[in-house]
Amino acid sequence: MMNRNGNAYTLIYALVLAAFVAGVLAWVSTSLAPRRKANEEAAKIAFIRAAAAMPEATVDSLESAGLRVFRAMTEEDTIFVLPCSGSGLWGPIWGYIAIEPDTCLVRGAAFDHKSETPGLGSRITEKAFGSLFGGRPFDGTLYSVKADAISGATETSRGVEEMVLECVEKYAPCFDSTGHFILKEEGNEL
Amino acid sequence: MNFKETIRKSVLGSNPVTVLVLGICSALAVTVHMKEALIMGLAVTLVSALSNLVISLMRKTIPSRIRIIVELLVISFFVILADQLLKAYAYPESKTLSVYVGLIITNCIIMGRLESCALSHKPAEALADGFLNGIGYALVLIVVAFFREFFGCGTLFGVQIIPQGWYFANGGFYENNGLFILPPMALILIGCIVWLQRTFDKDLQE
Repeated sequence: MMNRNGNAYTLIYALVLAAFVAGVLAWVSTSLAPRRKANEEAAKIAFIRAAAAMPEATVDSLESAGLRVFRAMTEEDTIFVLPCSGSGLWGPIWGYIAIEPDTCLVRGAAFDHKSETPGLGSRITEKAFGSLFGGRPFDGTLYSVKADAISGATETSRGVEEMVLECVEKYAPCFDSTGHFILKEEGNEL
Repeated sequence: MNFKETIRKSVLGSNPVTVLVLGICSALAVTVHMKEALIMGLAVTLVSALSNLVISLMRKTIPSRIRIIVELLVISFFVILADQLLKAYAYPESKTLSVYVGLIITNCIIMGRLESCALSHKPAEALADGFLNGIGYALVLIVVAFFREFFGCGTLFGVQIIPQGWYFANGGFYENNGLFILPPMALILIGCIVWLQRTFDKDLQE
């Protein structure tokens, strides 16, 4: 048996253990990847449906004026959902804003995040938070909360504000002079 | 040491959270809702039990100079495994727990048990020790989460307990206490648990 405190033993021990652990974890990660991806995709569609308040809608993805737009459809209703992304306190945040085609008002919004603080910033995912945006015009006044939208989560609230206003600016080309959302060019089905 | 004594000691007498005051960070963060507290408690219990077992099995081969690194490697292995499994099979919960699953790696309870038990005990004893300390941690989390979710959200495990009609918004007299949602309340609750425990357990009084 080699000397347990010798350099060679220590080095080989560390290398073999690290390689073994890395190998097993890489294998687990690869074999669970399809499941993880499916979960993420399902979560995305659920968020789009939540923003549009249409739990049964089929969702597809289009392009308008070179920008990504989602369309949620049921037999009697079609609504466009605009994606947005920004940064919170700890990492990226993103959301979906649903626009009423007739009234040009926001129907609702749903937000998600990568790693905001549980119980504080992470509450942007709650339905009550997204519904704050319902019935508001899709312009510079969309985010008009004076104090922090979520107390205790100042940075995340600011991140949402910045993200939402950026989204309004970015998607301006998709609206005509009367403020109605128009699809500039049909894209491919997702 | 007999088994009953071990249980009494790790779950109560030397409870990692209330007596040794370890693992406080996550205890403040993931105790807003009972469901997350339960999942977090289970994850820590599993990681603690399994890494205690593995380190105990390896204890005679570990070079003493890189002891801590080897321990960290084993802990990280189980934590990343738990994180991957949560992401694949309990996606919504893994989202709410977010960074705190990864942070189990730095949870002092697990490191502490490896250093003080696994390195010097046989696998079966180490496994029991790791498991029971995890349970001790999970118990505190669940008790704290019970009060926080009940008074802060009016729900338990997401099920509405306080009748909707009681709320101001519906013409009632009741309002959820927002303070319970915030981390300081978790600290106050843990403080109350420590106080109660020391009142009844004479051994802990200084």
